Amino acid sequence: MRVRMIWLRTFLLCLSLSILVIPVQAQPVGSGAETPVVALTRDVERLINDIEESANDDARLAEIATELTALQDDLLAAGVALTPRLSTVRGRLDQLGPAPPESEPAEAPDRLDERDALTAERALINDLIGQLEAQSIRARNGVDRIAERRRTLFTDTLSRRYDITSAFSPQLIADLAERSAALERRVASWASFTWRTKQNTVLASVFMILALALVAIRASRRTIVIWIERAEGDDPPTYFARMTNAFWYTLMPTLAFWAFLAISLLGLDQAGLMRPDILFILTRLLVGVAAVVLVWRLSEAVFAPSKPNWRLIGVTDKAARSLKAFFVAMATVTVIDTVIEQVNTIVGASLPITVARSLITSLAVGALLVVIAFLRPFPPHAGAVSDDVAADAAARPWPGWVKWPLVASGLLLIGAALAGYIGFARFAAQQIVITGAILATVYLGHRAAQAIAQDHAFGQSRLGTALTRRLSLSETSVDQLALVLGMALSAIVFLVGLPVLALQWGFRWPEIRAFGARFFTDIPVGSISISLTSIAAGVVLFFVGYLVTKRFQRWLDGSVLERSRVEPGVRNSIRTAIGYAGIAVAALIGVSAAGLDLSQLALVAGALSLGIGFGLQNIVSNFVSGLILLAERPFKSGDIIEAGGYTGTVTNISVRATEIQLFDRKTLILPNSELINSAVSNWMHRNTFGRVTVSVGVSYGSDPQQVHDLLLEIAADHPRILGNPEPFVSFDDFGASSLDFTLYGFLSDIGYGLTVRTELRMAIFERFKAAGIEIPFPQRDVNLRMVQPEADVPVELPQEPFGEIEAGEARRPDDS
Amino acid sequence: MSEKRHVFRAITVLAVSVQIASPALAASLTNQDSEPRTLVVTENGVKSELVIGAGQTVSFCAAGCFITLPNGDRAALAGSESVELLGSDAIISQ
Repeated sequence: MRVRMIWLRTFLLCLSLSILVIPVQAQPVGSGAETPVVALTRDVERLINDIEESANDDARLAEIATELTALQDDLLAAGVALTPRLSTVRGRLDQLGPAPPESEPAEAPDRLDERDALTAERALINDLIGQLEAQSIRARNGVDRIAERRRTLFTDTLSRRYDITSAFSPQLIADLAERSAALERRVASWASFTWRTKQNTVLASVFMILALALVAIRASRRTIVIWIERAEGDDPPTYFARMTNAFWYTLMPTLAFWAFLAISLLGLDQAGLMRPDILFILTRLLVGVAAVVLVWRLSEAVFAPSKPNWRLIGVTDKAARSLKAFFVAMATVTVIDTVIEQVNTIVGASLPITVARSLITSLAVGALLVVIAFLRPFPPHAGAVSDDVAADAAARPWPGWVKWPLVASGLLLIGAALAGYIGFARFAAQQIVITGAILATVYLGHRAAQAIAQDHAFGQSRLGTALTRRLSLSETSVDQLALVLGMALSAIVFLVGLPVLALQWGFRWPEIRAFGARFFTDIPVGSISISLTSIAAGVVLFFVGYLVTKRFQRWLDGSVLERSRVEPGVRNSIRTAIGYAGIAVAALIGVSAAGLDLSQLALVAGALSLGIGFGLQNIVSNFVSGLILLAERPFKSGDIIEAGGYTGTVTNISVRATEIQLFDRKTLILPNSELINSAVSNWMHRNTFGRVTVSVGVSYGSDPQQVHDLLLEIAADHPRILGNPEPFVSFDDFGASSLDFTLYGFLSDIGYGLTVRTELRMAIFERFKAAGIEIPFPQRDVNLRMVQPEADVPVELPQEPFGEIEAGEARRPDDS
Repeated sequence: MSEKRHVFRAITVLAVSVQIASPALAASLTNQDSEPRTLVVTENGVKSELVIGAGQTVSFCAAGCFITLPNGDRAALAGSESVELLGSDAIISQ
């Protein structure tokens, strides 16, 4: 009920509607309302009576308990349907007020009538709900009684001791003869009757079944056999390939065989050839055969005695043969036991047969367990022995934690059976076999999931390659997909396996369902509870919202903004803003779908604000700065800016930080607060117009006017230097070695600044050289003054040379 | 990319924490009255009495139940309603 509520809410939210409260229909409750209540009461009555009648029938008792539990839900639903009307009636009665005392003047008759009618209706509803409540209590008591009774039955079965020697008396032979004769008679009478009356139908059916079998065999030769073919060879295929092959190897022939059996049986039944008892026996028999076939295919798939390279578990050839045989034998014994039990219910139960059958089953299963435990399945360590005979002797046994529990359970079965506790032994044998089968299947499923999730395993499989080709996925995404698939498969295996195991161990389906529902919708932790489905719904909705936002963003950017010729920086800002707004909305939707009250979120936000104030100060500051950058746009994507000592092209403005690509292709990630709080120079703010300067020095021998004119000429000749504003040249300084000039030129796109400066310098060098204008080195005149030549003391040089100083000759330009 | 992952993680953590803070998904019962009241609650076929103090709010009846109000009126709840006791009367809303 509650799950449904959650989904309803999710659905409503999904449509972005505010929560609509659907008004409850509050029709007047008349005498017709009693009918469903009476029907429900009768159902409860019938089931309660049934408990007494079926006091010794465990299966029927379980069914009754299930039905009673379902009835309780119906009773409650009937009550819930009546309740709103009661509120309405009560409200109206309150409006009418109490009946006036005798002394006051009488009311209008219709008012009086209405009050009477409403009072009667109120009493009726109360009475009906009261009845429902009483039935609910009765149903609950019935369920309790059934549980008690079944417990007693079960304990009786397990603790009852039979005299096994008396079971093997002549009575057993007599009973066996009698029962088989009875069975024979039934089958014979059915066969002769059917043959006599419906000869043609029988012939047609037999023909159809044979034809179906032929078609099935042919089809399986064509497709299934090829699909599951196991190539000979010494090299084992990958684990994943073996695993998937084992899966199909088991499943396809088994399913084909099951389908054949089911179609045949259904066909015979539809053709009117079946009598209920024969159908019952045949069904049980075929279900048994189907189960044995499943176990046979499964053990063949896992142990592959004749194809060691396909074996899933690394056991020796000999052990593989034995294990397969033992498992099939165990399944067969259990199935035969069950089928005989079922058939006995038709031809009449017999204590000696039951005891003998159970004894044989328990002993056989026990003996098989012990034999399996003492197998030495694993090959010896590599290099330990050379020849085959020695290898068999040196094969390693099961690990202790497998071997001894097997031995113990086998001996327990044998001991219990021989001591006469047949019921217990048979129960335990069946539990061991079926639980073992379920656990083995779950384990195989889990291993398969692990195999899928392994690196590259899935990508190399047929499905993987097909997916890669179709969806043009990269190897990494196929691997990620495989991981998800593996996890999902694991989850499914456990979600299916555990309930099946619980069913096998005597839990009832309603209990499991209730537990599951509670587990997914309401995990109590102290006084609070967590709902997994709500959280999952919230997460799913969030991702849906996120994807929708992405799509909308792409559509808006690609189809609307681009065609409207909006400049790229603005587009980027809009896209980013929409992205964050979308994520925020998706998060809100997700949070509300998760069943959270947004007011509580506000509470949490309030509680967190102190923490945000201190701990997240920087992040919040960057976030707000990012919003300001997007709104104010002092620079946009593609601009060349200087900030924080770096110069580069802005590539992306996100909410926390801005990415700047430096000219050496490094990406600088600058927190937005830096860009807001400190100076940023943008070379391209509003326009890309900019100025380049080139400084040059010429020798004192040059003509300044000529230099000035030449520089202007060079600037005018350069295609990227604008004519307006004009380039100009400044005569800056009489420098130490040169006359210093600076050329200023204006560019329409400062992005070419570096190139233009380089080209200008090239041109200046060439043109100056051609014109004979010299660009001088730094030069210095050194004057030496000898103060006291006679006091010149010779310097004592050290004995060892400590390095030589090469004095370069100062070269005066005039010398050349 | 990693930033987005952080955002997701933060939202998940927030969602879980708020979810934990929210009360169980069950019917809630509030006594607006100035004195304690007693309700008879039959949940899953088991009858019990629920005493609620003045001004208290409790959550009960997780999987639906029958109740008998102080004024003798009965009601059946699906498990998501809220019940407000006013005097001996009650308002049941979805």
